[in-house]
Amino acid sequence: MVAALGLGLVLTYRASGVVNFAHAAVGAYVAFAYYELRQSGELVLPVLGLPDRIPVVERPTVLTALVTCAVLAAACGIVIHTLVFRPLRHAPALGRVVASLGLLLYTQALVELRFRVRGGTSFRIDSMLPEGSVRIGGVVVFVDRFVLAGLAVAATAALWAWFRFTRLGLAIRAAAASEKGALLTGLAPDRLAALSWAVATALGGAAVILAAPIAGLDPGLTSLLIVPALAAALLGGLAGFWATLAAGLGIGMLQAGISRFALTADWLPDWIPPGGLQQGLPFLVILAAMTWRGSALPTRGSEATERHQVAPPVRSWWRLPALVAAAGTLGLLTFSGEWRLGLIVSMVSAVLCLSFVVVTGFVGQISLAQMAIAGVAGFLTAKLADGLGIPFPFAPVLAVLGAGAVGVLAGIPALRIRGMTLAIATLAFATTTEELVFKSTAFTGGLGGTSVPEPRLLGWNLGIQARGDAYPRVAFGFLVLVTLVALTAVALNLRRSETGRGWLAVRANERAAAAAGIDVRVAKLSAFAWSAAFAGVGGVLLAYQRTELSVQSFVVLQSLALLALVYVAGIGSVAGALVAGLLAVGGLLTAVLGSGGDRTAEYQFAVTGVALIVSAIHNPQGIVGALHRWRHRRRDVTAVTGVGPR
Amino acid sequence: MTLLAVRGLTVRYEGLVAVDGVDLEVPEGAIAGLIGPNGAGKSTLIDAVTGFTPAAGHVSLAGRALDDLPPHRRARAGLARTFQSLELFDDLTVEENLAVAAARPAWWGALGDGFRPSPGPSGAVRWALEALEVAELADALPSELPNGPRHLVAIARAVVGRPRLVLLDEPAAGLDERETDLLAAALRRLPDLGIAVLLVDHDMGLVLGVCDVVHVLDVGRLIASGPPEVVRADEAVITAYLGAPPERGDGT
Repeated sequence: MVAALGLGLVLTYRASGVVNFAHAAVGAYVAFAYYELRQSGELVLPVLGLPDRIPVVERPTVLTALVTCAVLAAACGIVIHTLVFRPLRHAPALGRVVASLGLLLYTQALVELRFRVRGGTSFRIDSMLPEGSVRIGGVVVFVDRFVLAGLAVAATAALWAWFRFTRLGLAIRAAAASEKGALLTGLAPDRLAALSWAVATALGGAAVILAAPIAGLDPGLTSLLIVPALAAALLGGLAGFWATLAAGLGIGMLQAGISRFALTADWLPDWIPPGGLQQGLPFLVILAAMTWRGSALPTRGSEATERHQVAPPVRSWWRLPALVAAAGTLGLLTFSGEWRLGLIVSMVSAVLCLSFVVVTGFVGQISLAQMAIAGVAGFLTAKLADGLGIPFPFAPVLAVLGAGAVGVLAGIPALRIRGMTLAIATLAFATTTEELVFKSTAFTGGLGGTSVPEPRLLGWNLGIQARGDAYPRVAFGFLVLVTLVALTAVALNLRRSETGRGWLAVRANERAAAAAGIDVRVAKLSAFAWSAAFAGVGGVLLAYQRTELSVQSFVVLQSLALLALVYVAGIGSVAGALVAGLLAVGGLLTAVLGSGGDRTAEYQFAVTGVALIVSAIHNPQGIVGALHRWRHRRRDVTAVTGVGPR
Repeated sequence: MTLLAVRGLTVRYEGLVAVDGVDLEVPEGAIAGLIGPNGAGKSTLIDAVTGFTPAAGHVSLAGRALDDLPPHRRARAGLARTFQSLELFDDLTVEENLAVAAARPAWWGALGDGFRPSPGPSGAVRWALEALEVAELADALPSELPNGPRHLVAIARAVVGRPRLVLLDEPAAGLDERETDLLAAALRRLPDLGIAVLLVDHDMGLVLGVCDVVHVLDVGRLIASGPPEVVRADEAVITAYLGAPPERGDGT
C-alpha cells in the first residue's frame, strides 16, 4: 500500500509539481465511501453542504462498487486539481504545502463527520483478496500480501509503460518539463495534469480499499500513511516509478522485519513501546538517507527564487507586547466561562504559533515537528514535577531547555535539505517521536495518560482547575498572558537583532548569506533551537491547561493545522502568530462563534481547511502581510520618496 | 605583491570540465578583469574560488591557503563576492543588508539576542555606504531601488566587511551607459580603500577601461593574461571572444 500511495504522489508531482500531503486522506475517503456503498448502497458525497449521500443501487456487487468509487475518485482528483492546485502552479512552495494541508484537514474532518459513528466505524470490512498463507523457508507469508505486492508491481508497470510509450505520457512529461513549450506544441498541459490527478487519486483510493482488510481503516491513521508513502516517493527521487515501488516495498518489509525482531528480542528495554520500533525506525533510516543525499548549500541555479511572505521590520520591541498585555488583561477580567477558556487557548496557541514564525517565517525552514517538540516539553514537565518533585518554575524551565535540545536535533536535516523535502523530513521526525517516545508507557503513561501537577509559586496556586464558574481560573490566565507577553517581546527582539537579520538573510538566499560571512548552519540550528524553546513553552502551558496529557495531546496533525493557520495569518511577523492564536481551534473565535454541539471541532477543521486553500490562492501574503502592504502603500502615496519604484 | 593566487583550479560537473587547470593571480591593490564568451566558466571560477563549488587545485589569499574553508569562512578571511543576480536580502533595508555582512556574530550570540539584541556594526555600514555613495538609500528596501543603485548596494554589501579582495560577477549587467560610468568610478575608488577587485563582465568598455590586468577564459582554460592593451591585441583572444576588434573598447 505504501508503494501504491507513493506512486500516486510521484504521478501528481510529475504532473503538476505538487507534493500532495492529502493523498492518503483522499484515498481513505474513497475507501470509506466504497465500504459504505457496499454495505448500504449509498454513495457518500465529499462536499459539505450538499446532501450527504445518494442511493445508487440496492445491493451493489464488488464490481459496481469498485467502478463507482473509481469514478468518484477520479472526479475528486480532477476537482482538486482544478480548484486547488492549478491556481497554485506558480505559488511558492510553502503556499502549496499549506493548500495541501488544507485539503488534508478538510478531507479528514469530512471523513470524521460523514462516517464516524460514536465509538468507531461501524461497518464490516471484508477482504476481496484470496486468503490463506504459505510457508517459505520457515516464515509464514499470507497470500493476500503477495497479491497486493503483485498489484503494486502491475500498477507500476502500467504507469511506467503509460509514461514511456504513449503519446499522452510523453505529453505529460513534456508539460511537466516546460509548460510553455507544451502549450506551443499544441498540447493542453492543464488537461494532462487533470488526467494525472484523476489516475493518481483513483490509484490511491484503490490502494486503501484493497489494503484496508490488512491495515485497517481509520480516518486519522490512514491519512498518516502519507508519511511512509512520502518517504518512498522521496527515496524514488519523486520521479521514478520503479524506484518508488522498490522503496515502498522495502519500507513495508523493513517494518515487518523489525516487528518480528522486536517480538523475539527480549533484551530490548521495556520503555520502547510495542510497535514503536516498527513505526519509528524506518523513518530514522530515511531521515539519515535524505540528509546524506542533500548538500550543505544549494548549487547555482538549483535554488529557484522563492517568494516569501513579508517579514516587516520591527520598530519597537515594547508596543506589541504592551498591546497584548492590555488586551489580555481586559479580556481575562471581563470574560468568563467559555470565552475566558477560549482566550486562554488562544494565548497558548499564539505561543505555539510563535515557534513557527521563528523557524518558518524568519528562516524559511518548514518544520512540521513543532507539536512533537511541544509534547516533549509537556511530558517532561509532568515527569519532572510529578515523578521527581521538582517545583514549579524549575520543572518547566528544564523541560523547555530539553525541548530546545530536541529542536536542534530536529533541525539537523535542515542543514542539508530544504523546502518540500525538509517539510517531509520534519514530518518523519515528528512521527518517529510520536511512535517511539509518546507511545512509551514509561515516559508518557501510555494510553492511560499522565497527570500534570498544578503550578504553584510561593504557595500561590496558578493552576487552571476550579469548580463551577471559577473555571478556568483567572490566575492561570495571567500566567499564560505574562508568558505570552514576554515571548512576544523576545520574538521581536530576535527579529531586530543581529541574529534575526542573519536569519532573514538565510531565508532570502543561502548562498548570498554565506557570501556575506554568515554561517548558515549556525543560523539554521539557532533558529530551530529558539523555535523549539517557544514550542516547548507552548507545550508546558498546554500541559497545565489540560492537566491531563495523553498520546493524543500532541499529534502531528496539530502541527499541520497550526502551521497552516500561521501562514494564513502571516508567518513573517510576530503579529501573525497572535492573529493565528485567535483563529485557532478551541480559541477565542470558536468561543465567540459559539459551540454547535460536540462536532464543532470537526466542522471548524473542515472550514479551516477550506479557508487555508482559499487564502493560499488569493492572499499568499497572509492577513498581517496584506495589512502591512496596505499601510505601506498608503505611506508611499503620502510621502514623497527620493527613490522611484523599480 | 600577489594577493590572490589560484593554482591549477579545476572544476568538473559529471564528466564535463567547466574550469580546466586555471592559474591566476591578482596583485594587491589592483583591479583585475576576467572575460570570456558565454559558457567559458567565469561564474564557475568565481564559485570555485569562493568555495561554493568543490574544486581541485589551490586558492590562497595573501599567502593563507583557503582550500579547506567553507564559503562563509572564506568571506570572513577577506574574500568577498557579489552575485550576477545581486541577491540582496529582500526583507532587510539597505542598511540591514550591509549590517548582516559586516557582523561577525559568534554562535552563542543567538542566545542572548532574544533578551538584549545586539545593535550591530553601524560604523562599518556607514563607511561602506559612503564609499559607494549610496548613503541616502540606507532605509530603503532593495525592491524599491532602481537597477543602478541596486548594483552599487550589492557591491557595498560585499565590501562592508573590509575584505582584501572582492569578486564582482557581472556588476554592469543591465545597466545603462550613465549607470555604468558611475559604477566604473566607484570601482576605481576601491583600491584606494585597500580592496583589490576581480571583475567579471561582458561590457568590454568597462573591463578594458578600469582594469590593470585582464585574464581571458575560453572553454574553461586561461588563454591570455596581461594589461588591457596587450590582451585586446592578442590573436587568440580576438578569435575566441571578440570575433572582431572591439567597437566600444576605446570608450571610458
